[in-house]
Amino acid sequence: MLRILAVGDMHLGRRPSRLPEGLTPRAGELGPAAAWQRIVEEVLRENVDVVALAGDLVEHEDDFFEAYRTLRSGIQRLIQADIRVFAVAGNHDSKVLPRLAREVHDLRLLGSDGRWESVTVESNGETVTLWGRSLVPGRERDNPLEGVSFERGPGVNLGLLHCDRDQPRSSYGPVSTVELQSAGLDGWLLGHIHRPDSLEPPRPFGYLGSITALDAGEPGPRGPWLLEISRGCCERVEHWVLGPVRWELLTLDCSNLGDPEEVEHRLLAACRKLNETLDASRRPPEVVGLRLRLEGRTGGTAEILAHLERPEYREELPVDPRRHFFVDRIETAIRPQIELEQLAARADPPGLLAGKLLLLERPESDPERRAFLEQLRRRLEPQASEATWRELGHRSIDEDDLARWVRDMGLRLLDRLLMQREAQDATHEA
Amino acid sequence: MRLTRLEIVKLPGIEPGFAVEGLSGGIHLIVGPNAVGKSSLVRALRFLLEVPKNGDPPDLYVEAVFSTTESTWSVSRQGGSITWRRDGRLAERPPIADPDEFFYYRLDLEHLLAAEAEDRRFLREVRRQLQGGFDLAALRREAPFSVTKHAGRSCRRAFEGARRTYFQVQREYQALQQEEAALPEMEAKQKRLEQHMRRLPCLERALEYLRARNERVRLDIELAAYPPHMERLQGDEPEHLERLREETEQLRKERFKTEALLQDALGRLEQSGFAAERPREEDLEAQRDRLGELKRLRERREQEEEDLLAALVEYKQACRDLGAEAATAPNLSPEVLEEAAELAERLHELCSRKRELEWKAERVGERPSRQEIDQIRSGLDALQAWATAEEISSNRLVRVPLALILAGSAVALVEGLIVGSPWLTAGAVAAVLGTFWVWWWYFRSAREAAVTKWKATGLVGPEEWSRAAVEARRRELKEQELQLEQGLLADRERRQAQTDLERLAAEEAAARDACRRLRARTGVDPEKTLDFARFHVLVKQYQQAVVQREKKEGSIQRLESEIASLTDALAAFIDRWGEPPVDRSVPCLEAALKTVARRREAAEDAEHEVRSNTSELRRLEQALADKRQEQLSLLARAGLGEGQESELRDRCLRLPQWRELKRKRDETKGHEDGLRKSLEAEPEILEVAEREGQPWIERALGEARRASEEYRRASEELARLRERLENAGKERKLEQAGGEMERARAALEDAFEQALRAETAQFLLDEVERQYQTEHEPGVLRSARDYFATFTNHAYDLRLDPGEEEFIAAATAEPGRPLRRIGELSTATRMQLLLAVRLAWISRLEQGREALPLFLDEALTTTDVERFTAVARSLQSLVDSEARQIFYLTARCEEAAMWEKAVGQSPHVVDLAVLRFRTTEPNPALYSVPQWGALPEPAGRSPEQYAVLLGVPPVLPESGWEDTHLFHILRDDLELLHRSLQDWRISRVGALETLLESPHASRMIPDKRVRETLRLRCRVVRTWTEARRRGRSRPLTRGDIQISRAVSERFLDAVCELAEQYGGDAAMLLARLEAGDVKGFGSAKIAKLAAWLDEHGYLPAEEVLDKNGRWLEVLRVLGSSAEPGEIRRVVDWLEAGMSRDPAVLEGDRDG
Repeated sequence: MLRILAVGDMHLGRRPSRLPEGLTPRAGELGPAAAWQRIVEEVLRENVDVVALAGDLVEHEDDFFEAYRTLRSGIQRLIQADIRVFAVAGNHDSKVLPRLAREVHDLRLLGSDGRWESVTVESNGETVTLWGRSLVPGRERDNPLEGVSFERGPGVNLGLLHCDRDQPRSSYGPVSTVELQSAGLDGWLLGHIHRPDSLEPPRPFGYLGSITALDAGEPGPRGPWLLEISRGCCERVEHWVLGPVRWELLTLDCSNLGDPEEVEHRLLAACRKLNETLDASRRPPEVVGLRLRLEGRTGGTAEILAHLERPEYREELPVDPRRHFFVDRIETAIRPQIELEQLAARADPPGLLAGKLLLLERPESDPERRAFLEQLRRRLEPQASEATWRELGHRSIDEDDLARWVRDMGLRLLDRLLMQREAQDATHEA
Repeated sequence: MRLTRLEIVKLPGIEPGFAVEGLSGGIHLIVGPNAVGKSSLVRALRFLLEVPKNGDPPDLYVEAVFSTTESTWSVSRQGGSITWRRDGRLAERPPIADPDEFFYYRLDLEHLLAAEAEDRRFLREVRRQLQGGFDLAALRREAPFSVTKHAGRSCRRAFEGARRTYFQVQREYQALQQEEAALPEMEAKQKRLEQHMRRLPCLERALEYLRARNERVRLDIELAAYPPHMERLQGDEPEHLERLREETEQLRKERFKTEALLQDALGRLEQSGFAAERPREEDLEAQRDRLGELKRLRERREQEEEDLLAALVEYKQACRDLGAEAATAPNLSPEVLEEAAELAERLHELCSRKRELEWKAERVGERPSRQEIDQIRSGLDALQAWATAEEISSNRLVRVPLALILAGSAVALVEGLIVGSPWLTAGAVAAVLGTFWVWWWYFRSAREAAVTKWKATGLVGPEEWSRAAVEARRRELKEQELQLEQGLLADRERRQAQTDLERLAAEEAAARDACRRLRARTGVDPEKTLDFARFHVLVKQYQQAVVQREKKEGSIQRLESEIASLTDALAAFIDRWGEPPVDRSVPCLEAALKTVARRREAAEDAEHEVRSNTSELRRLEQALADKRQEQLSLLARAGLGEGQESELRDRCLRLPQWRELKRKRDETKGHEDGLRKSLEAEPEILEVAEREGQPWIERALGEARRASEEYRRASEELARLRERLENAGKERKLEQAGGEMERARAALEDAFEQALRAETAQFLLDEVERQYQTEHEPGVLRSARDYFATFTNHAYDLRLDPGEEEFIAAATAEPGRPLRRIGELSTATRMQLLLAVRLAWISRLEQGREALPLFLDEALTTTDVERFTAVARSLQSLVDSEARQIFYLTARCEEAAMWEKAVGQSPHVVDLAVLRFRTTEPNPALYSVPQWGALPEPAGRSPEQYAVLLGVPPVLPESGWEDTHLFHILRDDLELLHRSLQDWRISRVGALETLLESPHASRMIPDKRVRETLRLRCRVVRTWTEARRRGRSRPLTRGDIQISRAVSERFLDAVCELAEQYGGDAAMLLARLEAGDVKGFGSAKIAKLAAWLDEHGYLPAEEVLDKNGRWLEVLRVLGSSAEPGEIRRVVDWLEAGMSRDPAVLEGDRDG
């Protein structure tokens, strides 16, 4: 059996963002460098034969003093243990990797000149031919598979590539799924996109994903992939989940709450359930960031949010002393107990607001819905283009954002309006 | 309802009364000097329309007449009584505004400009209606639906700071990387320099080698001048020779002395007598031991003799203790002892009996008398008899029979009396009497006999003759009787003992005599044996004394024998060695023995000295020979013979110099050889050095030294660089800075999203509110909007601020319909807006009721022409559209002309002074049109000169675009400027724009092109002003600083002065504070102040546009609708007009 560990985007030199204030001093210990160290330790422990690096190993292409040294140190440990290391350069490491390949003799940088290059590895009677091509400055926009035909090498033939799949206008090696599938190889190990695909034997195909979550937009398990080549084919694929930080999107049903405070118990119960699944990881995370989505049908959303938006939960949730859980953001989709349609029949402000919310449930092509969102976009654009936000660069506001904001804010407003009415009724009754 | 007549008959302050009559619809100017009664008209009307109050004047009397289309209404008030009549008949109050609402009909300028409570009430009412009962405004202010205006700015600054840090680190790394790239070149250079430098020590050695070689040659020459064999000399040879001579002399002296000692020792040996033979030391020692033993034995014998004497004393004492008179030994045979014991026992028994009898005989006591005993015994008998009689009388056995007899007698007596038997009765009586007599006689006579007997004894009687006393006395007598009988018995015993004592005394004397005889015969005292234990001890002591005495005697005998033996042996030894003792005493023997020992010791010493001196003589002879040989050798070593000692001394004097030279030479040679050997690795340099000599070496050395210095510098630089490279990245500064940047960016993104979410919420609320308003807009708001649109010729629309409880105006004529708050409107427009709101409110109050006239009390007195015109036109339109009757009260008669000028028609004027005081000739001056001030003609003056002449104020963007002087947009048409100022009385851009938008514009400026140009220029002024204000805050005032609470009292003055110094520029103030302009105002305070300023918009996030930026902004907004050249011209004028100095209006303050 021949064991290959395919490592996706590492981005050494970057730190995980959106950690709570209390974890900021530890951010350096929770980033890609820690994940890379875990990978090296696991590789040395699990007798892996080959490590294939799919590019974007460092965050800054000219970081020769921090990430470069971390990367070099890890690769040297692997090579000293007689593990073959191959890599292709991504858009972030076009300077670092060539220099590292020069300095570390046994590190093999494939396709450093922008041309496909193959290497054959044999171990324990199994053979793998690894095809690789690095992203070369000045030729990033080229389709890496255009006009290329692979002459199969011995054993299982796998491609290692840093590319942008199905994004024809991309500046980072645009290539299509069809081209990859028809290239004649037994699998593709891709870098660039941080969200991992589901790689399956016998033809592992897709993005390896980042080795650890770098920000809240990278939820779910992260880590490299182990491919076991046996009897001339890829027999088994295993996702080594070992990122020190993990983000999760957690949906919380707030229906039938006897007491708004009960929502906290529900949240903690959901976290504990999640925690149990995390324990099964190869190297469980040290930090778990949560993005909550509140659903269900109830009144008193404001009270529920007041319980969940407590500042201490932004710092840490009391779930597991071994693991730091915290809440990063809460989005509400809690509906009032009265049906929106029923509310919308009313002529008062809650009714009018319910009517706006119902617009969102229409098809995206609905002209009234589009007009409404377009109106909102025009309203937001002056604010979005204020000098205050200039540093964020041009931020196009898409319809999804608009709909999300309308839904979130609209439901919150509706809740508050209905509460006003209840208060008025209570006053009148009194 | 139109007021046609108003009469004040009686009103405090109005004397005499007067009436205003003939009033029609439209506008009426009530003119007259102050205190003429203008306000009293309004006051009088108020008294008529309002409910009488307690504070009203009591003697009030006013009347008024109103007319409607249908009727004529008159109202009069006398005191507190108000009477309404309709068409001459009493009637109820007509349907007009409520009594407390008349307040709304009276207006003045200040009233209009200040948002009074009633306007706010109106506003609240409108809002309530518009929001369907929901408090949307409160919702707008809640989080997360609302964010501050300046939200995200601190995040942006944090992000910018983090980014700067990040780029700084990146630049540092890039610089370091460039240096790292230069590393190979530096290393190569270092290598080259190293090669040069490596020759340096070699060349230095070569130079040193040549120098050493030259020195060595010179020293060789000097050494050659010295005699040969100098190296053999030690330098101390003369001293050595002298020392040898002295030592030889000393040896000779010693030899002579030793020979004398030898002869003396031989003589003493002969004198000792033991030259041939002498006793051995061991023998002497044995004799000394014997002598010691002899001394010891003699001492011991003396001790034994003393002990013997003590034993004899003890022996004699023991004999005496046993009873022996002399020193003879007692006879302790059994027979003697038995005899002694018997004698002693007999004597002892006699003594015992004697002591017993002596005790009995010595007992004391008198013999009692017999009569006394008998007396006591008689007394006892008497007492016994009395007691017996007494006992019998009290005994039951006696009493019961007597009682029975008495009872029987009594019964018989009674029987006798019953039956009447005299016998029986007599018998019974006799029986009773007899019984009594027996009882009395027997017992009394017995006791008396006993007492008589007692008295006869002569004893003292008992205290009383009772049973107890008699018994006590009887016991006493019994005891006395017993004591007397015992005394008789003791007397008999004493007499018997005296008889026995006499007999025993004779027996004791005989026994004692026998004892004395035995003691004399045997030496044993029989009385000693009486105490057997004591006797046994005495015997034992005697026997021990005997044993001790015998033992000592034996010991002395043995010692005598030993002493004699030892004395003989010693005497024999002394005799043998020639010393006959005088006697055999121990001292003599001891002295003789010592003499022998001394003689032997003297012989031994003498013999030892003989041997040692002989040996010493031989040694001295040998030493003398050695010294001689040594002297010869010393001379021979220096190459000299016997007798050349002076030559040796001379050479030795020169030896140190030779040695120094030689040392130097050897050292130099060694150094030279060492250097040459080390240079053999560089044969080329060695060869050249030996061939070319020192100059070449020195030249080459200079070059190598320069290279070495350069190498050192390069090495240091390289080491520093390597250290920096080694250390770079260890702190992970780039990663940390990147992390911080990402963190700040995330915060900014959060703030951005939060802002957009809040804006979304506001949008939703706007939409809901707008939709609700559209569907449910209240009539009152519609009415206010209509009024406002009418007043402004539809240039503006009236809105309610969605977030604030305030009205806003929407400029309908401008693109985008910008919304302006009341504070942002020109004064005229503001007055129009508030007038519209007030009228709408009045209209609401009048719904279904009659309208009342409006009263404007000197509302426009202090206003300028533009405002006057605007308001006058508004009021005129009100008259035109609603036939509303309006009274305008003023002290300035000229306002009639102004009204006419403003609205094109003359109002009805009521001159109260004429009315009240019948002045027939009013002052024409009161009606003259005021002179606005004759403005000078441009008359060929340059624009700048004309501006100075007119006193044109500079452009002040912070004051609003409307207040910009017309000069700044009419520099190219000074004639038009003059006409505007002179004829239209318009001096501000805002007023001009209002004029241009009014229907009168075409009449006043017939040329359409000019009107269009002026409209454009007005828009340029507005756009440019907004561009100029971008990024600039309003000036910071002292009040603002105080409100911030970021500056304590201690620093308040200093900070305010600083702010004032920089024109209230908050950013500049912070910069100067950070520069330390206010001492002690620390960074924490600065940060707090900065946070407040930022929060409150004093630190705008927008970048300040420079001159060019402002131009581009104006061009961007208006470029599509006008010629750029025209825009540019106006912008230039405005930029120039910002100078405070009118003479320098071309300046650019933004410079």
